[in-house]
Amino acid sequence: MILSPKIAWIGIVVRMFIGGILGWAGIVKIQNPEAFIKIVKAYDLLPEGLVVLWGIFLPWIELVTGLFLFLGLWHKSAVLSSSGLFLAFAAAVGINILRGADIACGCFGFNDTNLYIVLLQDLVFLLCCYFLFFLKSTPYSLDQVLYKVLV
Amino acid sequence: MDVGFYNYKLVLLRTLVIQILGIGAGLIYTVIFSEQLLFGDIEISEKQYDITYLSLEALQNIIQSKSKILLIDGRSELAYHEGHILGAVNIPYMQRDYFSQQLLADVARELPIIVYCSGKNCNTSVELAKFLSQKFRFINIQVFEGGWEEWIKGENPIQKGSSR
Repeated sequence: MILSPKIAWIGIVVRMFIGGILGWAGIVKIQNPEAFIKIVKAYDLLPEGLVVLWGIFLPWIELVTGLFLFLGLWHKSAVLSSSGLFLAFAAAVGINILRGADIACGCFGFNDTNLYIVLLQDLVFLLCCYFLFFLKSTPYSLDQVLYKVLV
Repeated sequence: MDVGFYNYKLVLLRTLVIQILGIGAGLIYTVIFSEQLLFGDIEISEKQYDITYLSLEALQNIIQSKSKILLIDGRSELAYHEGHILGAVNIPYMQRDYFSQQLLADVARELPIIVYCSGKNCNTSVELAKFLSQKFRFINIQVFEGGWEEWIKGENPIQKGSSR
């Protein structure tokens, strides 16, 4: 499949945007792991033992996934990994909206957003992933350089 | 090349590799820089905002001593209306900009502020405290960590409806 130049450019922008968002969200959380662990605890979805592990490792999975996506390495796998993360975030936020819990999001360290907006945001990011998944790859990516993938 | 590159098993395997790389990086970083997270007790502090936590007994003592404080309920308007700590005002976290402007614009920044939310598992009290500390520069903000759940377990004075 050869992408039209327009679609290819949209693909690059969306890929870098989603990759950048994930990477940034990861870095912000890594800088203050205790605060993020407390937020994970506030979501009240995981058993006590898993809260700390999730709080420690999730930001790193976000960062590495974001990096792969941003650089366009293993495009579909990076998109799949991103989709999994956004799906998990959307589910966690959705469940807490239904519970009526008064928690702050903690998404990008600002804790500044209404949970409904966070849910909508996650769903938009998921849609972006859906779009990216159907592109084999995008131009200006490491896949092109390393694997000579045609786009 | 294309068939091999987009073989779904390979895609799934690489997805797993990406996640394992993330976990590995996290493990290395944590072991080197914050080992206590993995092997020790976690002390969750908000020192950068000068926020301290208050126990139930401490809050009861403050209220009984009739010291001048401002007690803020960070829960929703509905939850506040159904019942709140006697004398608390309501600044719902989700509408904090509007409510704080209405209620706190003329409050002295030295006045001790105590914030609470529904219980130990909510974090809006801490977030609200950070917000108030940044926006109004209050210098004495405390969080009643046990929140509404702990308050109503005992025979503590509550109030229903609006106090505004």
